[in-house]
Amino acid sequence: MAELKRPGGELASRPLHFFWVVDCSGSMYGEKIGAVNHAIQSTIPDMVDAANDNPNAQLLVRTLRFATGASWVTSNPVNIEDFTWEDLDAGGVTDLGKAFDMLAAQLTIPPMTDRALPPVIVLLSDGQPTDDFKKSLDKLLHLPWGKKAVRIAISIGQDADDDVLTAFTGNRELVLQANNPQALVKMIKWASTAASMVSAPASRIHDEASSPLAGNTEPSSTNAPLILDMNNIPDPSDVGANDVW
Amino acid sequence: MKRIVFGTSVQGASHIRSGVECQDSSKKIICDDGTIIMAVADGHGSKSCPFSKTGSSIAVNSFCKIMSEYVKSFSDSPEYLLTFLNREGDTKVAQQIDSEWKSRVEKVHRNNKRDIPVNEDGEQDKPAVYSQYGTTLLGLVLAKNFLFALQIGDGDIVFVSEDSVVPVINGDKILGVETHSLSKINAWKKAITVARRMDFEEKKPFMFLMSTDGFANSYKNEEEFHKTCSEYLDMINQHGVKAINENLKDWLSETSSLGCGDDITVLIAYFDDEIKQNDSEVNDNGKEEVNRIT
Repeated sequence: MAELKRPGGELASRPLHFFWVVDCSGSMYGEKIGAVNHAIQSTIPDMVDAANDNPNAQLLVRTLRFATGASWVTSNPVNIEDFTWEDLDAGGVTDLGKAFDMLAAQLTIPPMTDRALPPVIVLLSDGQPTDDFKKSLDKLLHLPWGKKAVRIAISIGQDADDDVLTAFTGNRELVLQANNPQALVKMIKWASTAASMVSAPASRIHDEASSPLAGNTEPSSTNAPLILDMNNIPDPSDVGANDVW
Repeated sequence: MKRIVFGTSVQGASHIRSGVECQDSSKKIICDDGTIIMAVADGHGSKSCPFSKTGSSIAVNSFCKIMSEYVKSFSDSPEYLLTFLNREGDTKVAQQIDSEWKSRVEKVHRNNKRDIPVNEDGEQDKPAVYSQYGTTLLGLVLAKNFLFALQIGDGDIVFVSEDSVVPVINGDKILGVETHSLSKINAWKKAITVARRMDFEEKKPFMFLMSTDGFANSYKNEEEFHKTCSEYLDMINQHGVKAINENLKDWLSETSSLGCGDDITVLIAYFDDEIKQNDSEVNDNGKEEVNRIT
């Protein structure tokens, strides 16, 4: 047999965009933002390991902070191997709508490509939005990739508005309760595993109800339940409740 | 005009790592009148579709059976077959394939004594059975002077000549990892079909290339995918079908490994005035490749 060199164009793994979206408003000041910094930092090695287990997906990470306004901490997508967590500080109001606007700008095509894997967005917040977030959320959820994104929220402390977070995730089960530092670490670790679940190559049967082809103009619920193993979401009551925010 | 149909499936790099068998299937038939019928199918492979390899195998067999019956029944008047497929391809023909697939799935499920879920009304939940065998289907019929293509779900069928790469059919592109599936009730309504006259003497040498989505998804973008199709034709023209066929499995394994990691199936129908002497061996496997169903 004559061994011939493989013909063809440029091969590439499929990009998987992962967004940490962190509430840095004044109410997060002190222990809460410290716990967030510590918890996300501690998940990075696990995310690197998961990414190494699947070289056919390119895990790209970015951090978006919002308080008075919103801004990218990492302006461009960074390979998880090169990603470092920059400690965030807290202060200001809770402009969640501004954060949704900035996410929407990044989830349009371009800069996203149509061959990407569904993006993962993990939103961490402890309070009430202070701006008119609804219009911005609606815009985000009407984007093709906004609709397809796996959207997870971590509700920090007992003052967080879970209705707002549920509007973002499209599913109350994906609003994870973190009422103390231990729970926060567990929830952040679980959310970070979403990347490895999204990157499995299995196809899923298209849900007609969420199809724009069906003329559905309402934002869909997330397709996260199809992708994530929601049976293993940590139970907040299993985490010591001595130190409640 | 000579033609050769060949191709192969490879287990995706991700499936090798996780120990999951290749979920793709393919089949080709060359009818007595020379009509080529070919099909590829991509079993979904998710946890909720544990028998999708069987589902994909049933899909290609169903397509080839239904279409070979049409070719046979219109053998005296192939022109009428084109008219019929143009009119009924995405309705009656798609319905027949859909219903053939579902009836075979039910039979296999029963024969293997697998559990049949029960719905809220205490009745057998057939949709839940079908979904365990979820698969896409791409089918192509190349008659003497026309083609018919059918697509349910993702994947590609392209026509490749020395100066262009043109999709034969434009399937629904759904972002992410979702696809239409034969396992859905009324799956035929999602079938996209094309039936059109074609002068196969034009533009030779040329080829039709069918592939599951793992092939195109392994390339950086559509432009790189089309470039690849064009280079495959160049390689066949230069080295012959036999040499390409011998290397194809390795190439596709490498493609999956450096690309999206999914299973890949490629089936090529190559046309030229003369086929190199050794190349005719490629078709010697017999007129029909049979998919075993378990």
